[in-house]
Amino acid sequence: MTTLQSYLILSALLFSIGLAGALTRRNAILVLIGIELMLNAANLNFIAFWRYGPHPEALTGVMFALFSIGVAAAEAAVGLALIIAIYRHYKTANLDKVTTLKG
Amino acid sequence: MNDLLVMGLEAAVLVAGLAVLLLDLWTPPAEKRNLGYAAAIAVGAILLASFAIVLPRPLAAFGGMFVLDEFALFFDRFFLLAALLVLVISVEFADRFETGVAEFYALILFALAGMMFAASANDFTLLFVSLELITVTFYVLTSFQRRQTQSLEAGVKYLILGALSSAFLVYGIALIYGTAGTMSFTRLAEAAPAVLDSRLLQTGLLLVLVGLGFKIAVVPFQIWAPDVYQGAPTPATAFLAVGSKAAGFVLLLRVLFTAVPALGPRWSRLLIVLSAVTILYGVLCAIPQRNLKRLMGYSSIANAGFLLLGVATLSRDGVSAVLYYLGGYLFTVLGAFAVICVALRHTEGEDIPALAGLHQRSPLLAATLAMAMVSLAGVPPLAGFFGKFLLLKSALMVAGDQPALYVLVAVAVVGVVISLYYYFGVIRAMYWPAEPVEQGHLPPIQLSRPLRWSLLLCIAGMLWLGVLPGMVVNLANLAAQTLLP
Amino acid sequence: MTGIFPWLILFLPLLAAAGITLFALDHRAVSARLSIGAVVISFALSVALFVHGTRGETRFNWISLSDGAASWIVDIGLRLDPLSLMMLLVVTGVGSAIHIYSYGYMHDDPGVGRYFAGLSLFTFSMLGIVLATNFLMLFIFWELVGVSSWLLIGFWFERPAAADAAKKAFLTNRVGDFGFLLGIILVWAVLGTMDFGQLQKMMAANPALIGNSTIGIAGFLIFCGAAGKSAQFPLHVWLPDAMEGPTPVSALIHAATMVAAGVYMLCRVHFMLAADALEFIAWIGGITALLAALMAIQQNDIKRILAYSTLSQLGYMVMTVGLSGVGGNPSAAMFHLTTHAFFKALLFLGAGSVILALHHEQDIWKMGGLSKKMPVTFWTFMIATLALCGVPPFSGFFSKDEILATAQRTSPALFALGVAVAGLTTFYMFRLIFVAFTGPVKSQLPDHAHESPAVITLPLVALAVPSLLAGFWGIDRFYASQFGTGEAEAATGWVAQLTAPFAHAPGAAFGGLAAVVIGFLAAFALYWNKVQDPLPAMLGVVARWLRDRFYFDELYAKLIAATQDALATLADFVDRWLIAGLFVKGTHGSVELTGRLLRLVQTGNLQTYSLMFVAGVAVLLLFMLIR
Repeated sequence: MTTLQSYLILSALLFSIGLAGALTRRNAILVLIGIELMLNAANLNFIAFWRYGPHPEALTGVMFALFSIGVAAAEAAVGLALIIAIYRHYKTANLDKVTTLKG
Repeated sequence: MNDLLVMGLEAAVLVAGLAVLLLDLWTPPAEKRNLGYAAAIAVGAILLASFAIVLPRPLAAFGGMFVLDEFALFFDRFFLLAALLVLVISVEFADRFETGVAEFYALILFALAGMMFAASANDFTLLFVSLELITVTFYVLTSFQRRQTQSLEAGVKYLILGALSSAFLVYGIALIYGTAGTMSFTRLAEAAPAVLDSRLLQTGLLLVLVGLGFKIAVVPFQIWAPDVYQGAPTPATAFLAVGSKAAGFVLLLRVLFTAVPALGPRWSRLLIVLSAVTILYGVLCAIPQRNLKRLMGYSSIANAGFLLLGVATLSRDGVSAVLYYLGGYLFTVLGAFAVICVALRHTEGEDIPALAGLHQRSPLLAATLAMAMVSLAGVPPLAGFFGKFLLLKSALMVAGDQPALYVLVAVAVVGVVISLYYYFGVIRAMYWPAEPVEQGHLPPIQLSRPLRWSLLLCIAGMLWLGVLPGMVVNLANLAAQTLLP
Repeated sequence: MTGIFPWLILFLPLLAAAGITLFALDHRAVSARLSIGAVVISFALSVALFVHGTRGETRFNWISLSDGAASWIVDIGLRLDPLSLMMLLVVTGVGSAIHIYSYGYMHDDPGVGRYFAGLSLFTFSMLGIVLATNFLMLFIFWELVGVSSWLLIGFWFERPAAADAAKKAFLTNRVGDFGFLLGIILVWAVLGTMDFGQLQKMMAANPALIGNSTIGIAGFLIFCGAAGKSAQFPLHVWLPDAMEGPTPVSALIHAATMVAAGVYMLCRVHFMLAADALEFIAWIGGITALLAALMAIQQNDIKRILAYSTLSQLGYMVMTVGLSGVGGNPSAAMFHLTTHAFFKALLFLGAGSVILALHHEQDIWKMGGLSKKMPVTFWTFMIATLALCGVPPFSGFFSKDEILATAQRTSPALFALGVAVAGLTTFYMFRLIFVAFTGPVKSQLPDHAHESPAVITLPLVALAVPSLLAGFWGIDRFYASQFGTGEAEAATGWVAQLTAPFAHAPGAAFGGLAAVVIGFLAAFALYWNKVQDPLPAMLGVVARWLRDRFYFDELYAKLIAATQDALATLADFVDRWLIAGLFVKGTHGSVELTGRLLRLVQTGNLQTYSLMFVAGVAVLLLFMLIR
């Protein structure tokens, strides 16, 4: 088994764990953490592909990973602010309670 | 330096956004609302400036990551016009925000910049960054009424599902990068036919489709749309319906026709199925709706299906029809949301029966909404009719090669017929309400001058595109040609 | 030089409408001048074109979608041929008289600006129909005519009856237009063009096309449009109600021009109507003519009598189109359309003059003795009546005679029907004359009546001239030149012209005259010097049927209610099916999973939304990658 493959398997596992967390958790913050995990799994992929790809001198993979981390930070910041606002209102961060819009 | 000149329009929009934030510091609170007009004027000026751009050949910047061609220019103008109208609507809505009106305007401008970057994206990196710029901005825009539970709920739903779709998108891009070794659309097009058989690359492209499908609200990634449309502040909903959806289509078209042209035939059936299911889902779910914004949410799903029909033809006519349809959709939907914003401000929950007697309170509002509904329903001579006509025509022209398109056209026609029912329900609620309204309950609605002009612009646009489609069709053809020479 | 004339004729009224809407809604004099000026100039230009003998088309590309091999071009074009030239004269000429009359009639109404804007918009749309070179353009103007008609019928929208009538007219027309649109699409799909000139060439080059069943169906569908606009059975119900609009509107739109658009359109596309369709058209026309004439004899509202009369005459025209045969010559229909435009507009304007004098009383049983009080109105009304009945030498005699002659040649049954309608026409018109204009005064109103001012009487006189003389002007031969069949040389000298019908088709001429005499005698016997209608007592229940218009409106009201109920039930069904049915039953049934998933869609729960989303991704990947 080459090193690239093991990185990819690790990343796929991370992605799946993150996805499982995002789907099963009721707490908004834990859902966000799950999604962050998924994003980081993808970042790991980028780095692995870059490092073991044919052109490691071109920094595209790293660049994308950096962008992705930046965007994830912005997403987390907005997300946490929103969840705090929700918490103030509903006195809970449980997503099951936020169901007035439906039908 | 040259690179910055190529993206001059985007840079100007970003500068305008920052200027609004700065000006906010020195503007007295009572005047903050009018910053929206300043922003609208700036956007209008940039829109006018865009018509001075002549492109003998496409320009590129940042090593080909960013391109400025006729296709990008068409959408730049589209987004600028949409933002202009949304800003005017936002000023009408401004008194419903407790604080931070200027931030709202600035966020609209930043989302606009994201959309314009998306129009020029020629690389998966820029695709991702521009898409996230739009999405993250919209997280804030949808939840801007911080004390309204509905707005918060819309925000959190959009956030969680949006972040989920981003995760899939990034993972997909990683797989594409890994198999093809590049993220540039141009280089991918050269490499693609050889590597397209790789399951990994196919998975990557499908995951990108998931990310874009979320933006354009196509089944099965449409679940968020009705809730978010209903809960978000009306100007944000309007921009979401027009700008964000169009941005998704820009990127989808670029990926399909520039990055991996060989993908089209492989995805043909998939696109047809998605289009048919989306149309049916949108129109069927819209029937029992009582909330106008929610109805528009389902309507926007159905329209995403119609637009996808044009994409599924994989022909230049189809792309041109998509662009034309989006043009008509802009005037129609923004006109409708402008009316919703003003006419239903004092009623709880934007219920359709609250429109009763609108024609007596403000004939212009009623006429705009009625025309928007007629146009959405695809009745001549308005824009929606001609757009649907072009879409169906483009599909029928290539249906000989792909017989499934016949079925799709039939589904689309059924969809149009069903949609008549609820669109005309809105008109009926205005002009012939079930319970007559007493005169005393109908205070006339005063319209500000910019809003009046905007409504007239929407009406004129709907009529113009419906009656004299030539010019816009030619623009759309020109733009489509750069994509499918 | 004259190349620009057609464009001016078409767009001047639109400019007037736009100008009034933007600047002069509150200025009655300015708005009236703009509107009248536009239509009068259009009339003058039309006359110039007519005298100059211009023919042909001017056009430019409107929509051109070309893509190398497959190109699709629709032109905005204006077509000048005998058919459209004569129609131009009718629309602008009669329109001018009615615009001027309106200035007097609507003088005291606060909404004058809105009224004239609507009238100008209507003139523009009607001229668009007349000049259109292709189906698409025709259809757009067709809809615009519908809109302006809706605006004008509902002009007094504060009256519920007017608002209802406007709505009814609009909706009834939509039913017809739906078929029309399908027909147009079918023609385009099969023949690949919507241009009248090209279609005609195609048909001429390949006569077998007319037997094509798809073209046949298209013909039927196109007729649906004509049936709606020209108020043919069973879509006739909107026209009588449309009389809620101001009287000049009834004269212009619902008597002289718009309702004739259906007949005009049928003549325009006559070359592509198959034999089956034509026979169907003839019978629908005949039935309409008879039913409407029967309904007219028991109406008491002066405008409604005229409205049913219009229906009946339109039925005549449509019948003639149908009888003229495949590739035949429907010029008799157009001839009658033209003369009818003159005398029916005159009748309505005369009725308007009476209504104005009687302070908006429209019941003929409250009139009487008006011939002395209002001599100009009476005599012009009389001329129009004689023309409508078909008394020689009035214009209607010649046109009706051609219709009867056509019927006599082709269908004995419809000929008999036509003669009967002619008798009924004379009967109900002289009933109107005897009751309203002569005989004892039946209420206090006529005592104070006096002749209307010149702005009203002058248009009456102006319209009386063609009502009297139009039979001698060779209009029929002018139309016949459109359809290319060699008509007999015109008789010279007016005596010879007058006797020509008797020599040409004696059966039709004498039959028609006999019907007129019988109708007149019957009316004289029943209504001369009467203060009460003797007919209900004699006919009993039949009279009530006639008065209540065979209960068509009630039937439709029930039908519409039933349709609405059905739609509501359908919506309800979808409701239940989507929400209650599948979700509730599904949880316990074999479709448990589907039910649960669909229910999850609706709950508003974010968790399930995420699950749906991921499931969607999974389905997508499975669908594409594993086959």
